[in-house]
Amino acid sequence: MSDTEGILDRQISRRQFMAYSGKFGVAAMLASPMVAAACGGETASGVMRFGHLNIFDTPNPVVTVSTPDMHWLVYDRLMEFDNNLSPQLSLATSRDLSNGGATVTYKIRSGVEFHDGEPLTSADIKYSFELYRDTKKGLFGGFFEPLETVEAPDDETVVLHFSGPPALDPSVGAPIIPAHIWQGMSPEDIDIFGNDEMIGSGAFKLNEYTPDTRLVLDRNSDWWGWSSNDGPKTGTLEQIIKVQLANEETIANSLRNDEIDVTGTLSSPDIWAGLQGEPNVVVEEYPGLVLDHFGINVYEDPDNPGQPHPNSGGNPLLLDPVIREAMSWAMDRQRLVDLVLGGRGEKGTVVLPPGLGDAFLEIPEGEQANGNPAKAREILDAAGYVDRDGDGVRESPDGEKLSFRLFASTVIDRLPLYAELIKPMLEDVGMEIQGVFGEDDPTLIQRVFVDADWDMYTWVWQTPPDATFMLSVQSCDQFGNLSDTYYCDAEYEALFKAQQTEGNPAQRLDMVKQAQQIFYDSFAYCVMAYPTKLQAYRDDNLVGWPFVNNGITTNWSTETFLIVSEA
Amino acid sequence: MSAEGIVAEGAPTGRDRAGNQAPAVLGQLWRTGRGKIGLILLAVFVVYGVAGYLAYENPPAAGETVEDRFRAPSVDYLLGTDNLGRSVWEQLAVGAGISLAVGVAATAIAVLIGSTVGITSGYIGGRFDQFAMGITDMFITIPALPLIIVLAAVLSRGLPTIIVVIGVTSWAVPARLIRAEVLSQRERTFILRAKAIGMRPLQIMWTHVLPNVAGIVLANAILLTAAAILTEAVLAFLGLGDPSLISWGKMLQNAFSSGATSLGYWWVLIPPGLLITLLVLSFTLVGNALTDVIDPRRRAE
Repeated sequence: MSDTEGILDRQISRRQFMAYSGKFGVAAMLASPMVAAACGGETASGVMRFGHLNIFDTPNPVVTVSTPDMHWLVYDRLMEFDNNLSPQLSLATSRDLSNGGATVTYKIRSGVEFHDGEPLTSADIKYSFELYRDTKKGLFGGFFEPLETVEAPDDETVVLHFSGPPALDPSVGAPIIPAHIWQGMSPEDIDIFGNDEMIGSGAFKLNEYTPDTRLVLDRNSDWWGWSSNDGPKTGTLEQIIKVQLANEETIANSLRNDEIDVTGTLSSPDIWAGLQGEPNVVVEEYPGLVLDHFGINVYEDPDNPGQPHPNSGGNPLLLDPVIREAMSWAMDRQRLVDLVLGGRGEKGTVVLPPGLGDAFLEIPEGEQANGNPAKAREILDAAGYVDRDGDGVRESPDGEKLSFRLFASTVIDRLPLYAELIKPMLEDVGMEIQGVFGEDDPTLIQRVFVDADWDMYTWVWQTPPDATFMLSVQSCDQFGNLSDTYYCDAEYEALFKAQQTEGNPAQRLDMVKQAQQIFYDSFAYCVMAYPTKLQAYRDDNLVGWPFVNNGITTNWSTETFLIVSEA
Repeated sequence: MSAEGIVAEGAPTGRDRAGNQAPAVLGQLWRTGRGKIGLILLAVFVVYGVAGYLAYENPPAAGETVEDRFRAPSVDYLLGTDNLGRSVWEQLAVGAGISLAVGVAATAIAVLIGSTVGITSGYIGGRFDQFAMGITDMFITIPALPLIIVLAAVLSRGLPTIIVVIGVTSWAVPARLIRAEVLSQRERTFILRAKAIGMRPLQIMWTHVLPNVAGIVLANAILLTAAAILTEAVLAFLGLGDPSLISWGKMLQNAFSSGATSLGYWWVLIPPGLLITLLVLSFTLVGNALTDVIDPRRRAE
């Protein structure tokens, strides 16, 4: 699957983490007076100033993992997500299915040019898609798994042959890159290509990118999609300035002071609520595609089931599902939602968030392993995990203490808050929890995703509007990449793979739900909550803000940028 | 004739002197107005810190429901609650111990390094002095806060790290002060006599020089403690403290990151700020008064 980061919620990638941590503390002190400067002082009309904790990971659309929306503004796609996150035609003018849905034929617009004046033809699409198929790079790289061949019979026709009908056509996420610039580079070259010019064919052109400071995109008035060129997008934005701010308090104050027009996702419900009633500020709560959870290290040796993998640094006791189930029972999730999210979310169960609609498996209240410490103690007792030496911590029959390390990233404010609440809940049922809430994030990411040297890790995922991504995280193929459990189950794996090319929607949903149930019953994840998305924007400089599922500025839809207009 | 005999004739050993003088110094300190206020405040804080450590868990338990968040102060919720429904009252009490512990422990490290460098450098003199003071000046010149932030960010997070980082970055000024004092002691008769009868340099430094600069060291240590407490608060506010423990700086950071500052939840913000100020003030008052008492030259000025 794709090289996607865990934290799309804040649009911070794993790679970005590496560059990110360590300096935000200092920056916090400096940021506020710099906002105006970073935004370019005076507000010109038709400029959207977008305040964010993290603006961009790389101008390279092939390897970007955290800010697809910014790339999609610069690069066209065959399809796009509208504000309900439904796939719609974009550069393509028609999409025809044949061969039972396994073959997709696109007709594309004619006369489209890249920003450097070169024409965009089906050859560019063929080149791009073959690159994604071969490298599996980028946010949607994983969706290219079932793609077999790409044909370009003429300049305006592209035919995609899949191994079966794709559950989500990757055309909706794949930026079309100019073959005349990229061709000839080896995969290694592409990995490190700086792409400073960012030549695409999209609605905006790159003006300036200063890492960790600001990203400036200028309107491409020649873009086919603008209504002035008989396209469907009525927006009049001349420029987008995405400015990096150090913390949410600064973002909120910048919005108050008319230094920015829109905030990124605010994870503090109080900072968000504090914006209510400010003049010209609209405060919105959007449905989220987000899950807050902790993943448990269940890295098992495939040759010796029940034994830890030689590369795992986790506590081997966690391989016993009874202990993991007890953790789930010990957790009072409503309290977590109330205290950490200020009630702005739902308590968690399965690996897909309810924002995915039909694909979400609803576990009936009575069947949820949640909020029952007595039950946790009971099943631990029954399995022989009792406190023999009277120190308040249970031991296994072999005398090993139920002592686990809980790690929490500090980049998202709410993760250490969860960790702080979880610790006493688990201690209450006789486990010892060493809270490690302050290890810096590059170390943590290395520790969990690469070294497998952790026990429990609080983390956030934001999923694209499709089931495949979140299911893929728990695939056996994701060890060392996305997996934050090292879970590998044959039955789950088979369902996950099969649903990717299941043409019958009802059957696919059935598979997706079965996979969720299997993973839920493994207790390798303890999903704590499904938060909603909290954002705010100003409606005095810019008007026409849409309501977008998963946030006014979401990773998945560029609609907001294309339809807002100057007041 | 023993070395001690000779020295005893010329002057009491510094060790005796310091021991005999302690009650007198304390008495003089008490008689200065500043000293008295400082000592009382300090005593209150020590009692508060110990009581807080014994009475409450760190971190204090979180609330239960959404209504427990940011409760305003009331009879039931003395000083209110923060964003997780934790009692501000309890956080203040457990935070006092952290501030004191970090302040004292970091200062102990700084004083240990500072006195070692200052005394050896001042007593031995020559090239060693030049070299040691070169290093010391370097540490004085490097802006302390950025260095501390970098060290705290690079090393593993935790209270020991904070203590060590503050300790190893604040020894340079005491080292300079102590060296200056040692230089003036070095040519005194009792030292020359001790040298004349063949006492080894280390012995002289330990039994004669150290006790005579002890007053300066102590006064300086108390002032250093005030600075260390502030530094801990700054680091905790910047998110570089021990994230699993509540300290006053951490309370301020929580207040900031949870939006309490702009929402006007003063009970989350003002109490830790006020207590940090008072604690630092108490150390500063005592430290300044003590300097005056034991260094009459300065008092004369």
